[in-house]
Amino acid sequence: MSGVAITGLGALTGLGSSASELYARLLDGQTAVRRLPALQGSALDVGPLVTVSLPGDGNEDGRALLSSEPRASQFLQHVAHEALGQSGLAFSGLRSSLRLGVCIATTLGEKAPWLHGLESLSRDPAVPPQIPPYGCSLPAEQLAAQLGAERVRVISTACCSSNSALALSLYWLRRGLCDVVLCGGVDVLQPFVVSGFRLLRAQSQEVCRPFDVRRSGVNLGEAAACVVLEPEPRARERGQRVLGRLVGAGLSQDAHHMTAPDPQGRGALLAMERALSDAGLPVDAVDFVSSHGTGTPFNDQMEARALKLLLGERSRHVPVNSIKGSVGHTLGAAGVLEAVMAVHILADQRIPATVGLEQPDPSFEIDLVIGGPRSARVRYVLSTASGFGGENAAVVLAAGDGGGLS
Amino acid sequence: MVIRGFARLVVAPTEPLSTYLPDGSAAELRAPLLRMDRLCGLSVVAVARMLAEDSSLRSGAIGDEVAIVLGSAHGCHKTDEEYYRSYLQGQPSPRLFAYTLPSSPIGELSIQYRLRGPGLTVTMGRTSGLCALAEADLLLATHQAEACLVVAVEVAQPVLSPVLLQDAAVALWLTRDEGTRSSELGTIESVSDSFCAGRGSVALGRVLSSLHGASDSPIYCDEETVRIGAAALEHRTLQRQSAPAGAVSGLWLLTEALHDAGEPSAVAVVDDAGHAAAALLVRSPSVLRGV
Repeated sequence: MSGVAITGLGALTGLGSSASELYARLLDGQTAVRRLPALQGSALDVGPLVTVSLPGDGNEDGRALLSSEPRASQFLQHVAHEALGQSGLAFSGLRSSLRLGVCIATTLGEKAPWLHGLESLSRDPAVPPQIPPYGCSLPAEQLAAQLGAERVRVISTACCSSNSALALSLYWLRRGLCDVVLCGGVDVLQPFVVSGFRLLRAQSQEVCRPFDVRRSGVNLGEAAACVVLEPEPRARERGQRVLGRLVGAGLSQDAHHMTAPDPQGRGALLAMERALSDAGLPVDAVDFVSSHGTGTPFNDQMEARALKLLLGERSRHVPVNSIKGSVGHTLGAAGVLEAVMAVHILADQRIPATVGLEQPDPSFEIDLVIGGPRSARVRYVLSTASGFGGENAAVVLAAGDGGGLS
Repeated sequence: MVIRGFARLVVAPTEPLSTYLPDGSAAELRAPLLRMDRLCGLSVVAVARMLAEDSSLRSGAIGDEVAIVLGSAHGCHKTDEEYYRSYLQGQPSPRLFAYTLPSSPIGELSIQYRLRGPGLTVTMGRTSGLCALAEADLLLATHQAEACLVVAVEVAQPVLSPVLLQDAAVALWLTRDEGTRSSELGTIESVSDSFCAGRGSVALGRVLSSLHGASDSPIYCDEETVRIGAAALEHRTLQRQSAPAGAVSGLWLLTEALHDAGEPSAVAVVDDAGHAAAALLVRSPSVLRGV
């Protein structure tokens, strides 16, 4: 199957407000995971988290987590500007010139204003306030309206939403349904989701430790990320540099349990095999795996098992990392964020280490990048994600024109 | 894309779903149904009813090759509300939190029916149902799946969403059109959708003009579509129908068209925000006339 060119990247994370900042700080081994002063002593002080500060928003202490501001829309706008700018497609002027698709992944959308409406209703049920819209599709619709997009989708498949959106965007372009697709993911933290992960005992009390013997859970994080996708001939025609390529995607379901992954990793394996088959690549082509690597006991065990089954003897020699210890588990943004990192790795040939990982679980038998960045020859990246409900999605990315991106 | 099975149901918000289970599946689904939230329950019951009508659908498919595409305008908002109220009252419920994702029904359906193909959840306002059909078409056309289960579902929430007064779900079983006409209920010739901020009639005009061969077709639409798309629908023959609100609307009208067996029939729906439209052209085999 044919791939598509990636011509623009955007990222907004706790590690910075651009894709190049993200990659530089990942290489440095930095982490944005910390306890938030604004939550200390409250029921939401559940452990370290990652929040994002935009210039002038005063969110250094994490207070925005408690606000009713439509932050998801702001995040998405930010990364769309960055990605479109890099791809030579200015925010304005898109309307008449091309058939633009917007495909946005999210698990929460713009839920904060709605939740604050519920709080008001809860305080005084006798006087129902004006409840704002539920808002799942709001950030995407606003962005699409500004850009004059013709085809718009909001994809919500739990924590693999982003990879699902990348898959759908790839299929759209292969079928000629759009000229260009802006594919993104966004999620912002709110009491709603922080309290829920605490209930499920999935939140770590320290910086998370993906694939470590002492791993104890996730650090929730907020983020947004975007990539601009288009057929390669179109990118060439307009003289645009191809930063990387999205060459395959595969989706699957565990059919096992609503909140626990299949311990045998069969669903995740199926998604990985489908992604490689879709890309027309043998398993041996995989040079690096950007794992979901949340730091929960069950996920990491399942994922390591799936990777071992996929890679066979090579599992001890194909580098694997997770960026969750650096930027947190960013839910619906995670897959596109990891695709942004993968494009940088493909260009730079250096793989950031897994922050938080100190003692790899010896039962996993996979080659985890630990301690510091590793130089490696990377032509194809397999990026994986799994989520509640047993959803799995994997994508394959390939090198672009080469040269550094920063 | 061929329609091989469909089922639909409308349920009062307080009515137990177990009463809608088909006889054969009542025992195996009754216990899981108690665990699920309403969104999942509606989806599972609708699919159970469809499979009870034609058991060959499931037996003829390999679970790994069946995709599930879900469309819902409001998704899990009722469960979200219930969970958040429990949190505000200091007794947050882990059981409820586990269902605070719009994609939960895909998880439950995959577990109940051992389906391990691709899963997608589309939340694009009122057009979500028809958009889900468009993505099912894509998954089938690109050979990502051999069959596709499409479900549109909405849970009533009269306080927060006054238009949603009833729970409703529609399930469809779809395969590629490979020329075999036996056992098919209809053929979806094309699916189109468009987004045009703040101008629903323009969006509707676009999708109608893209439906090749539909110029003489009656268009099935509900009152909301007529209101928003009056300009675009001018000079067209309209079959006004009532349909449940939200994403269920489009697929509900599709099932009406299948029953009426106008040949060819077209179904259109515009979402209630007036910025998106989706439509499809469906041809019904004559065997369905008078059903």
